[in-house]
Amino acid sequence: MTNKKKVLLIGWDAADWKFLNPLIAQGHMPTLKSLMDGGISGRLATLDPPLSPTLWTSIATGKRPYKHGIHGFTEPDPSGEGIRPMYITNRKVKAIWNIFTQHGLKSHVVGWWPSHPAEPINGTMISNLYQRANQPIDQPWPMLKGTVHPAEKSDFYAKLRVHPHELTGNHLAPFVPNLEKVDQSKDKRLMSIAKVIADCSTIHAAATYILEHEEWDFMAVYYDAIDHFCHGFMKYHPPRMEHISKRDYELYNYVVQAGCRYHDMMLKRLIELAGEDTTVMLISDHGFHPDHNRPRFIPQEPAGPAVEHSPFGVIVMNGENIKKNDNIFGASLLDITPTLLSMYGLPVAEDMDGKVLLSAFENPPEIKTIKSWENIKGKSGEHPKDFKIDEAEARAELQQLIELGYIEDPGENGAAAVKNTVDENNYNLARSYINGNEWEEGIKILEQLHEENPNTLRFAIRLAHAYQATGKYKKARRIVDHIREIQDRESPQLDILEGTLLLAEQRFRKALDLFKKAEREGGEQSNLQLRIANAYLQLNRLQDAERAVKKELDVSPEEPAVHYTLGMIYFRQTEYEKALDSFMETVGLMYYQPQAHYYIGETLVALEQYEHAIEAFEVALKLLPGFNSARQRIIQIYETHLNQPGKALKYKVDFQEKIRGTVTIVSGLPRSGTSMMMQMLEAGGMEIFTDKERTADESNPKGYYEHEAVKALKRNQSFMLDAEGKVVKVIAQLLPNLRKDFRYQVIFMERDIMEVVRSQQKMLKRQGKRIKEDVLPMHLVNQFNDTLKKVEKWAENSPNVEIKYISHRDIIDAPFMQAMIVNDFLEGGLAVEKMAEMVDGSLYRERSA
Amino acid sequence: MKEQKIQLKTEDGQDFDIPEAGSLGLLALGYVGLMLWREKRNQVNQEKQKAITQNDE
Repeated sequence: MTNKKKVLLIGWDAADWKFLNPLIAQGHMPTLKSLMDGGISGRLATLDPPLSPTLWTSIATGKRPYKHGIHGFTEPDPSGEGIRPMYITNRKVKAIWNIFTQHGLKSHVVGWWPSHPAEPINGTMISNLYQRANQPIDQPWPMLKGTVHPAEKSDFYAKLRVHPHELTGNHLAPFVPNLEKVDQSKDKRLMSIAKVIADCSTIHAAATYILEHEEWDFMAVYYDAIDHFCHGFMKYHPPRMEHISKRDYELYNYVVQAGCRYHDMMLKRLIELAGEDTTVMLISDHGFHPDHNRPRFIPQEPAGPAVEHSPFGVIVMNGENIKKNDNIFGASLLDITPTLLSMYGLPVAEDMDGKVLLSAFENPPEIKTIKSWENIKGKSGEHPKDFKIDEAEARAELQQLIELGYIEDPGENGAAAVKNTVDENNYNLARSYINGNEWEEGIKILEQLHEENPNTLRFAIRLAHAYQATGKYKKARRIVDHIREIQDRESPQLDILEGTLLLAEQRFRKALDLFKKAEREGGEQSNLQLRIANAYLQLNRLQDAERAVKKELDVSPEEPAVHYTLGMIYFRQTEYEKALDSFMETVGLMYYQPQAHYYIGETLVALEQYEHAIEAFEVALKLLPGFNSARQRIIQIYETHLNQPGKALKYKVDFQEKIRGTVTIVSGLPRSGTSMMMQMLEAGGMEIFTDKERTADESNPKGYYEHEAVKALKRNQSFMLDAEGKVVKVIAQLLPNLRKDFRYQVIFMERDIMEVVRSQQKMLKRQGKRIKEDVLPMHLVNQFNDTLKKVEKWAENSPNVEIKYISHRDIIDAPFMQAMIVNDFLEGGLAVEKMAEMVDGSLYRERSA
Repeated sequence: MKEQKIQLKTEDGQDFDIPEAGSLGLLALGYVGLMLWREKRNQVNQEKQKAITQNDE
């Protein structure tokens, strides 16, 4: 260590600018204001699922939950008889304090969630099972073994715990000014406030003791009280919600405000004790809706109260080398650990999912990197991987947890509680995979959950969404139908789900109809106008789309998807300045959106700001290294606009390196012989990517060899992962939408355009459509010529595409020769004779003269 | 651990008399505030107890 630093990391669970800012403006939070004035502040984007144990572990590790292993509030108890709070031993990776321990830095951690049993780090660790009191004050108040490291200080810290019964009217009156009006024999809310005050005062007493009496380099202290005040009392926060009685409102409308003011007072003390040479970082893991977004009902399901959370927490940083009175944009809770590491001059691990918040610093620290911290040997203060407590001890501990009020007594339902916990944690794991764009992993888990619990709606709905998002529309449809069966009534929510599926299936009009029906029957609902806007956008009704998305913007001004959709509408309207503003707002709210960065690049290209465009495409690439569309745009800009082919070269090499594998594509205009080529390749021994949904008919007596997912290629390319090594039929118009991280060998069928048009007319006639056969639709001829030119240009500009044009007529005339050419192009190994045998010249019915 | 006698001051420099019933401000001071409050509470309780004993006698 060369540059000794001190950082105090303070966690305020659920703190949200939406209720903090008005209090700051009224002068109620002077310490927070002065911290902000002397530093930077901004929103901190959360992750899904927004559950505190998973989020605080992501904060402390810089990794998503599917990497760190903490997936919920509880876990099965080792005795197998019940469940217990989530223990730190489930964490699979090092936390920041373990890395600091390896580097001889003294770290203290108080109350972090989860941190039980306390890890033997270089410093003090007080676990999250430290503060709870559940018995009257004259009863014993034991402390769980493992609550304090070092253990010999357990008795001392036990004495610092504040019991709720110690508190008096003096403590409670700021929260409930008319507390004498509360009939405590019926109304337990006053006691619940006392418990929350006592709990956070306990944490604060321990933290302040450490700051005052121990040496330290890093200190992390976590307060969960704002979250508890909000879950219990945000419904009474001004303005009064319709369903809240006037009496309750008048009694309890100060609670959230008083909770925040108490935190401001505690913050003042922490800062005083930490000293001027300390950098203070104050964060929350998610926000909490204080406004019209407050839900009236909480779903009766595990973690149901999380619907009250909003997706943005807060971040404030103040200290030497931190900018003054400035804002920070695009921060995520994944960024905290990388930023801390860089502040201490330590390398950031490549397997971390966050970035260093460079824009927070006057002089940004030099970023060093390391592949991973996980393999770095040395005493890190982690529990051993095989850490276990024996069964008797586990049972005793379970009993103590029940007595302390951390869990309910499972009684005879222990086995059911264990099953529910396992299911719930798997559900959270699936959501975390999906949130990290690891769709297939998420789907695998959801499929199993749905199979085992077919009547659990939230599993089914999440699975339907996942199928739809990955182009598995048939499966999504089956789940939607299943949900309609198990739901005994019409529901606007289900219409929205089905409408979203229709949107993905590109059945835009039907989707719009369902959304409108949901609007008529269910009124305004979360994100409904956004969906309507997207349907209009796809139907190219840009003004309607703009109107709808602006309605959504009024109610959800902090929803990144709303700004992104508005950006797309402006982009399509060629209003590039406005589009740029919307896309910038999108990434300002939620940085980890490669698609939004990509469109910032596209907009800047349209504005002829090529160098800035390259920067935006670079960010998209950093966030999604396989994003070859961005890479391709950089190559084009360097070659075409900036005349720097040398710089393009590096990206061309990267382009090839990021290629996953090869997919063979058979393409052409519809009715140009693509199905015939598919038959030949199948006969030659290649595996065909088809769902066999479209069956043979008179127009294609040997079948179509298509796959339904291909039709939605513009919206979703994830199915391509299943197509690697196979042959896929893709019509010419869709070729530019192929994802850029595969190598494509394209066999493009050429056929006389007049023959193509006539063949298409005949096919439509056979389907019963009215066609004037004697009139040649010249607009189609022009369109097809245009498509062929586009394909040519696309192939030229795509380093991952090799294309072979094969003439339909040549195949009919000389099938063996053409089969040999195709075999050669596909690098050999095909049964050429069998391929040639498949060609049936009698089906060549539209031969030009 | 060696405990010291601490006199709390208000922001304008006046001595602060710790209320027996405590206050949020004392709790916000953390360890020190908690200890001073408990000490005061114990003192008052002892005095009350002493007064009761004397009355009984």
